[in-house]
Amino acid sequence: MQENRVILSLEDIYLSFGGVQALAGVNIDIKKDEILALIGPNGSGKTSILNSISGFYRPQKGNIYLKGKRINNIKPSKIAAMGVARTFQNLALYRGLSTVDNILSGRHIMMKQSFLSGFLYFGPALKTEVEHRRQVEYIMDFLELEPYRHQHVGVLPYGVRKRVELGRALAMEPKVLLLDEPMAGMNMEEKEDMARYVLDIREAKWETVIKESPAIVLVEHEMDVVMGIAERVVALDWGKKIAEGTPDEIKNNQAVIKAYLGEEEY
Amino acid sequence: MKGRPCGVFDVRYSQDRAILRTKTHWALFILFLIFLFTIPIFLKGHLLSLGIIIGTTMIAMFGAQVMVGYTMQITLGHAGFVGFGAYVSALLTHHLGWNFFFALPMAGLGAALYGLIIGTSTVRCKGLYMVIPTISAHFIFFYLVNEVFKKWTFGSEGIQCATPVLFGFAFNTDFRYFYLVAILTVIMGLAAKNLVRTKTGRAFVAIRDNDIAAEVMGIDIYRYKLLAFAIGNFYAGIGGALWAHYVTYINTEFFPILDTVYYVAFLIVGGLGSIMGAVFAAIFWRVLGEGVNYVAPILDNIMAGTGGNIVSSMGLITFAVVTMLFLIFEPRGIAHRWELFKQSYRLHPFNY
Repeated sequence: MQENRVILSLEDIYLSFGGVQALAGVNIDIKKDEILALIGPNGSGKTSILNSISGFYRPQKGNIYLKGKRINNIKPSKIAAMGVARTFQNLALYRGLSTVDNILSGRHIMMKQSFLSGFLYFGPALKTEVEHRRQVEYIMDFLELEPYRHQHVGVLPYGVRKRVELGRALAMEPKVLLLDEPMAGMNMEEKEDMARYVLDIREAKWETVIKESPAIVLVEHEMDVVMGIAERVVALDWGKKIAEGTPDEIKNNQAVIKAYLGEEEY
Repeated sequence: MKGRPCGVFDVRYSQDRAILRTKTHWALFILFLIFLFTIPIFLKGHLLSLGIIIGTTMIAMFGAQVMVGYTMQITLGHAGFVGFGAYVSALLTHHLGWNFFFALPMAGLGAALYGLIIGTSTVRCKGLYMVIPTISAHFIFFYLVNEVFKKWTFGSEGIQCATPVLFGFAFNTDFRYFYLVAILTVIMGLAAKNLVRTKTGRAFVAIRDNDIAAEVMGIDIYRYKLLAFAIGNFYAGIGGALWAHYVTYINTEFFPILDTVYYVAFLIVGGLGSIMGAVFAAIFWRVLGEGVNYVAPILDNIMAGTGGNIVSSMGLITFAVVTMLFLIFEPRGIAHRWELFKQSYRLHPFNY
């Protein structure tokens, strides 16, 4: 039973850039119905793990399995098509597109439409456009993005742009959703909103867009948020996993405290 | 459907994606078409010829827009691709006796294929770095025409391009050719607009704005950059073939390297990243060029001591100054002004 619940597993991942050992033998299992938080001091390898999963970095050693399939040497765009979506630490929206088009672009992999039908527009292209436009509207409804529908994302406030990015990732109907510091740089209210959205993604009864709630991997520095919404926490330091457990276990873990606060007595 | 856009609420998603959204839009569109097709009646001679040149340039410019404006693959080989299309069509009609209307799509496809071959190496570069490999495309075209296939292209002697004939109807006057060009320009322009507002166009813009994010969102960057390259060169080829069969005689001199610079420079003037930008770019370029051709001899007469230098250099100077002024004062081009106008029109009669 336990085995079946694992959707994504990292086995003994080694990743180095020249002399820098970013990841040194990391093992993580991500279950399909949980919010897993990755924490750790700066440079501990959190984002490297996300980049390895989405195919940007090629780990020198180790295996990454998505639903039992090894995805180590697959192109990032293929991995995305297999159901891995992510947001970025620094916003990576398409500035030249409106909110709607940004989220629609997330549905790229779902749109069965050749560029030739695009030339014609009327007919199959319009049909798919409308069909996916409807799905996008559900996502915008969920993330309360309606007021910004046709605005270019370049002019939107930071917190809203983060939400658009989350919407774009959700539009891909992911099986695994990787969130790289979704709360970074936000004010208290926006953080609360974002935390609620992350929880809602798991708990909402998706009927329209997403058939099944995705597993969420959350990289976050904001400990209140992590302890509040994560079901399981993995702590990293110097590319190694130093602790794993429920938020309460992590809170009292000596290794984690040492990594964050140093060796000194306190 | 109401007359004014302000206060129009979409009840269908297809309305939300539509270009022509009100009765006024439709009326203006139809008026524009009527205007376009009556141009030959009130424009004669040289100006009508200018209209034809604008049309053929515009088609090539759409291609440049898809490559440069939408995918940020800065191409400095566009005149070469235009020329490639022109030569494909010229060779097919001259040697094999093909009808122009069969040769025309082949010209587009030929240029697209040439673009694909060049593209396989150039799409590995990004942004500005694409300039160098695309320049090579221009010179490879020169080499192919003047050296490799000299037997068929007659090298620098140039080649005759037959006048298009459709079911015995020869497009042998400016009046007739204008309609051919106008219809094709409208069709190709609408097709380009349709392309960029659907899945493929979004993928192009995604790659332009953030290729890393685009890849993670499932867009195959290599494939889509190549596709943009091929589509852009398809347009270039069609524009080139149409132009070649209008002037009825071409050699490589007609596709100078300077033109490739102008394609990009005037795209900036017209506005990057919108099909309207390409329209403005083509009109602006050719009308400005015509103005220079008109003014330069007069200036030359006034300042007689310069020995014809004004005639040869005024075009260069004007184009350069205009491009620089636009870069300083309106880097987003004429299309941006057009957008601002549309936005205020959408809100009319309110201010915001």
